[in-house]
Amino acid sequence: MLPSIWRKNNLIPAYSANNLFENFFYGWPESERAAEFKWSPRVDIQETDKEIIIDFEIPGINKKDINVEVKDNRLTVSGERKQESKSDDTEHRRIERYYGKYERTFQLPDSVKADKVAAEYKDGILSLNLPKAEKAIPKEIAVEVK
Amino acid sequence: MAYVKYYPAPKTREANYCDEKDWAPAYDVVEHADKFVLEFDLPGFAKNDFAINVKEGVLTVSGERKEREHEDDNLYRYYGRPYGSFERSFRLNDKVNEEKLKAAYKNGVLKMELPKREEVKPRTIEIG
Repeated sequence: MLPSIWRKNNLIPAYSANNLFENFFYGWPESERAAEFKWSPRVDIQETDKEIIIDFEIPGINKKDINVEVKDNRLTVSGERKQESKSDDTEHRRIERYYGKYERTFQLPDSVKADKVAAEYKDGILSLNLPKAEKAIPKEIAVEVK
Repeated sequence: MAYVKYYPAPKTREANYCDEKDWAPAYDVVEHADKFVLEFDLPGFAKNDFAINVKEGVLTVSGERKEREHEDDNLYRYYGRPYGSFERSFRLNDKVNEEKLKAAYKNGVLKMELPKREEVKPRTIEIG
């Protein structure tokens, strides 16, 4: 199932020229360096005038194992999802879930107030609320063509 | 036994895909000495949104995640999380005692324990 993207009024907001999301993949990495394999949690992003809400799907971990960092307008969510180690009397029959280190980075628009970011982890969803600074209502300027 | 890392290939996520359903959540099956543990990644659900059925030796987990409400003041939306209905089925073999199935949902993981029948549990026999 492919992600769905929607833009209001077919206007491209100015910031998206900065490529709002990097690290688009969810799955097998480009490089084959197995030691650096990091999976990307899936996200839902919603943006309004006042805030950006990003939901990450990271089931089955403890709150304290998640790192959320905002630095220079880049938001990085990372951590590690540990797999139960094998013991002698267990056998993994089928593994489809992703384990190991995960990371996902987003370039945020300048209007986001980095110090007021709120995060909540519930039912396997990490929900980030990034408030935006209020901007002046753009004035309409009528341009006369002579 | 040394612990070996497992890197799942993306193609396995599409196995057991039912054509009428929209997506298939990922699961792990681990066999212990006395039970099977089946864990699904189902983040963002309430306990009542999915159903677990056992019928004629087939265990089925199904449910639906409704599409999000579209707020009118959104400037931009990107929905990477899957929505819609899902269903995955498993044929249980004779070793499993399906009446003792236990299920729990915590932190977005649906964990089901299927104890094995008494007779098939490994047991050591003492020499008298």
